[in-house]
Amino acid sequence: MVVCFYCYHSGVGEKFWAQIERSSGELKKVRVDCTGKLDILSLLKPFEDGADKVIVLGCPNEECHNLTGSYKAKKRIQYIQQVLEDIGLGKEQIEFITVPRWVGVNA
Amino acid sequence: MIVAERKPIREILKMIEDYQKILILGCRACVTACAAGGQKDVEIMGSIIRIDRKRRGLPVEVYEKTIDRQCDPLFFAPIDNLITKSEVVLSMACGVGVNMLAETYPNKVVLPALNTGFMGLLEEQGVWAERCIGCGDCILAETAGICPLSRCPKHSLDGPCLGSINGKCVVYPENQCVWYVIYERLKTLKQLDKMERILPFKDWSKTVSPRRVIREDLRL
Repeated sequence: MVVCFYCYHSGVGEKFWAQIERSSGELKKVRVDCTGKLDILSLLKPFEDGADKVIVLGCPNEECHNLTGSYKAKKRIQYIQQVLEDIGLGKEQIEFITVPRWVGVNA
Repeated sequence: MIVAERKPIREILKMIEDYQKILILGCRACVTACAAGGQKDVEIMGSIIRIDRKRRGLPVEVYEKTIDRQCDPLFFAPIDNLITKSEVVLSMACGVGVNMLAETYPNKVVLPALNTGFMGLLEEQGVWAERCIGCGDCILAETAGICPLSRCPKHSLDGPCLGSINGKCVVYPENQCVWYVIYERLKTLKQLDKMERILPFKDWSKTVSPRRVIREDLRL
């Protein structure tokens, strides 16, 4: 299972979801107000619950509604990547994907 | 505050490998302030241990608790049963807390999750810096409250060394020379005459371990 946190302000449309679903199989979508609100624990929890991978979809740094949300999320993801590497899961099990803001539902 | 940082995950996981009932014990004092062993860090550590055991298909029971201070046995009383029923206590306090746990519970395995570093302060968000080496013979009255021993790599007591350039340290050029900082502050305080005083030799005998403070007026 892949858990995908996505920013409320980002423009993730149907096509984008379809693309992710094709490549990941079972997908659990979790909408957040801003990826900067995701703390380390909330990003680790899915692995505890059996997720194979966690994806965070956030806005470009310079377009973040809360100014530094994406920047903070990336920092936390880097921390978790190191943890996952240390416990042998591999750092590729969590990633941040930048998506443009409000590109429309068909993007 | 006492500044500490988490040990590498691999080292921690190896230490607790043989145990199934693990109490992760945090401390709400210094290590919470330096984001190493507070409640949040305890929860993160618990999560990491569970993920690791799940990945390897090994059973584990993790208890998470944070108490006000681990350097005082008074605070162990409310969690005494938790300590008793766990096989091992993974302490997320500084070294003092680990020692106190070990002394209070002679039959319990106590392991440190942190490396204890120094006495320092928060310089900026996410950056802690040393400000006191606990020399036992404080000279801050002579140096405008700025400690040259903790901030000068050469422990210079007689002003800047010859390598100091434009107020920067010769060993760590990214840092200000602490004697430059002291000079500027003395100037502001109109106490520049203190720069001309010669400080006596440091009495390093006061740093010899094990150190102890005894207050006869307080002893029972």
